[in-house]
Amino acid sequence: MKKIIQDRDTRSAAALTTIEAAFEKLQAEPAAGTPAWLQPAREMAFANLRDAGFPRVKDEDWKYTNLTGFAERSAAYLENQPLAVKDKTATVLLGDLPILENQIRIVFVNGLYRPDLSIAVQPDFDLELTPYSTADSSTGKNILHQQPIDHNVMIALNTAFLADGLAVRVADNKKVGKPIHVIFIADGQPCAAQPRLSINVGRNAHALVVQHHISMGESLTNAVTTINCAEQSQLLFVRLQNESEQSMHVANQVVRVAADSLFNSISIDFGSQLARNDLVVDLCGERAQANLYGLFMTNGQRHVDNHLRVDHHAAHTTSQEIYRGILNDKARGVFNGKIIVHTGADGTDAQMSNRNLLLSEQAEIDTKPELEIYTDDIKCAHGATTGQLDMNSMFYLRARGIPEASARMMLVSAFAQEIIDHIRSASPALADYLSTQMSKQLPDIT
Amino acid sequence: MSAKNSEVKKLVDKKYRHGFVTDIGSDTIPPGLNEDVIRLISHKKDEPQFMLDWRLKAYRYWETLREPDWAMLNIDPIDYQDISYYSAPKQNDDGPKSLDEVDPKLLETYEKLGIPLHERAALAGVAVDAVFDSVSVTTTFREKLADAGVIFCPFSDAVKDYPELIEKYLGTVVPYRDNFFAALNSAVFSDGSFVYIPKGVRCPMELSTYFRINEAKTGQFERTLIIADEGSHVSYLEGCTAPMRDENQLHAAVVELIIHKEAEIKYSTVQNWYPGDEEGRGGIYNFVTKRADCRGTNSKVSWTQIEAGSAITWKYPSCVLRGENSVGEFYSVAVTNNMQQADTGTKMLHIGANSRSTIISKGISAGHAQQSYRGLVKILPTAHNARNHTQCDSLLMGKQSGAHTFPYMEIKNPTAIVEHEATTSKIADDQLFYCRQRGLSEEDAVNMIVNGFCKEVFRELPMEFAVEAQALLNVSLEGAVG
Repeated sequence: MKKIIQDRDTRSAAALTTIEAAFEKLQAEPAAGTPAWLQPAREMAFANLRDAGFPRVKDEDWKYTNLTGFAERSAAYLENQPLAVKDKTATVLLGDLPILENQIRIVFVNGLYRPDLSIAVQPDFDLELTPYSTADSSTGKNILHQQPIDHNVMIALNTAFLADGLAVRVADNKKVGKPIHVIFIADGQPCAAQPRLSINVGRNAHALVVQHHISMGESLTNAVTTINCAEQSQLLFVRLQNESEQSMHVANQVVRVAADSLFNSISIDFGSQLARNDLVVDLCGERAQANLYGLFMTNGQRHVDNHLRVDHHAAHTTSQEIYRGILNDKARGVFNGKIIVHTGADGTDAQMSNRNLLLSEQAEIDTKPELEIYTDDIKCAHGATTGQLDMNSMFYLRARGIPEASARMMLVSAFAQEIIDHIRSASPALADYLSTQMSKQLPDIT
Repeated sequence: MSAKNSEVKKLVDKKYRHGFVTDIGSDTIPPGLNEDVIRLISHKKDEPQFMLDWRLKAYRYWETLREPDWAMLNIDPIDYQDISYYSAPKQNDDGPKSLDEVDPKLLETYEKLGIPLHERAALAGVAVDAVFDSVSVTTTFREKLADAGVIFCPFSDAVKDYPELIEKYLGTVVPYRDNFFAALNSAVFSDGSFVYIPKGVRCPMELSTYFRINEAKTGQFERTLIIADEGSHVSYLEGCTAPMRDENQLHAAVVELIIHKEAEIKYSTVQNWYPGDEEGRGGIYNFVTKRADCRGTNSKVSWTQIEAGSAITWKYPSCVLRGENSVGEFYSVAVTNNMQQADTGTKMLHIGANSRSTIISKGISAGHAQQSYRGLVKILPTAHNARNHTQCDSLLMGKQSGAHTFPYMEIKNPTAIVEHEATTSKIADDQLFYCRQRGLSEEDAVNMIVNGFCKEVFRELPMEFAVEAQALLNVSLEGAVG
């Protein structure tokens, strides 16, 4: 066992050495179109990455997820970047996606903005959608301002190789009810995509942003999203990961929620061989509120890991986390939710729940709902359950003449649908699309 | 608010009841740890060669380890060379044959502690083994237990009288390679209790051990081994106290329980080591490894613990549920006040089919105290239809107090049902108001609410100890609200 651990750590370290060479090569001759204003941030981030190294086996945050394969694939792909653009795959993948209510669709392929595939946006002072590659130096510095580059090592990796991204800015008092659909495609070429999305919602503004990942083949994605919600704002953020079954996907979202504002997040993972998602929410102002919903469904020998962390810094803040997992075959699911109530955050109300369905003999779930509380005037609760489908519900359906397979399918889909339904009122088109995608996973599951 | 303040003041003024020092001649070896010290301890105990070999292996392994740092505890560095690893009250060379021969000062000490050593023992019907610093000073009711076939004696006697049992079972549940403190304990442990319940015997009385640290600059390292053979039953209780001193003292114990087919062990602890003063000076560092191994079908173990003392508590009584239908239970009330820190919880390892476990953990944190529940429920692929229910609730009293929960659940069998619930809150104002409005003083109201909060655990304790535990809780927390 000790040997395996050492071996894995050595391999990760070797991958980092290769990545360092790739970074130096890229510094010497930057890829065409990379904005110059990214340069200082990239250098700083790389120094952080080099100092910290990839997570080691003993790191508590990576206890159940082995990142060695990801590190090695990153190294192999980064050695050969940049690549020629191949359009066919991206077009085919896009063909399956719905056009959401707003008609706004921004497409990135392998981390780079593609105006030709995006659906044009009317220039609008109240809603700015700025690809990094089109931003001039002063806009760029503004975009990077307040974005974390060293929050963790995966964000540092993203920043070090950052070439493009999208900045969404919703002006004060602007209400954007319909979804802004941002699609990140990894087309399966040996490319380590480093997508970046930054969202700023102004005071008293409303918005709905969908971050959608799709891919082909053995793709590799390391996505970073930064979100700032100003006072009295409301944001519904949907992250949908439906990549290929051979892909590796790591995603980080760092969210700051100011006073009196509401952040809703829906996080859905259907795809990937290895998916890891870290959502970090800071409730900074009084009465800030966050509702985080999640659904992960996986089968085969795939692995999906959801990490949540909610920091209550201010008084009367509220958070609710509801995550559900469905695991089949030899799949392994991980849930880790952490609520931290800091000194001074009196009147906090935090509720966390994680429910999991294991549908086969060899599926596995590792769940860890944590609370860290440093003041007394609070109400916190968490719960986690794991089990099979409820026998009584099965009996009820079977007694009404429904075949076993259909009954199982009904129960599993109802279990998942409860999360998807949180999207329906905001975007029926997206909810329908998700229901279809979910049903597509089901034949394998029953 | 002023009323509350005066009550807080009262709490602060409240002195640790067991904080006296007994002035008694003792045989203490100089501080320091090396192979010679271990040889000396083994020699003093007149141990067979296999024990010395085992101790030395443990010591050499310990030297390769570093202290664990994953717990949520701030611990000042411990200088392991500044501790005396053996201290025994001076006695006649022959050792006491009956209670009459025991040093009256010692008996007085136990009298002060309220331990029913003498005729009170007869009333309570409890057999007591008392461990003072490093050695066991007296064991009551040995003859009566022997009639039933039960062996209950100091560990050092067992090593001499029943070496075959010790050699067979020692270290099979907690091997010396288990962790840093288990390795240290295996190397230097000086005494403890040994219990063997033969096949089909229901132990006729409660067994109990009292541990007392008395000497300055000493550590206490005791080891308890309980073997319940097929179809037997025993209920066992341990209690712990120490004098008030400005320095921190180290206590690293190991408890091993072996439960064969159809057998049951009920293990209760009332831990009241000196917790240090209100500014965090002094107090016991309590690092304990406790594990029960349910080896046969239908074997059952139940851990009940009341953790009120110690500056630092690091303790995770665990159950290995190997046998089919085996049952593991963990009931815990942990109280931390002032600057105390506790990181405690349990591990339930389900291996056998239909194994069941229950975890009820109640934490109360007041003043500047920090407390964590850390638990693992692991269902292995072989544990069909395993069942776990976990409930951990924390009660916070004071803006500076903290309560943390780290439950791990690793589930590798789809037929298992695992549930976890946790809540954290303070005493609700409306609850207090309700009680106050009915004429209860604030202190009584708080006591009542806290006792209600802990009731599920207290009712698992043997009756006479439940009363003691309740009193202990009230003393630890009086007036802490506000």
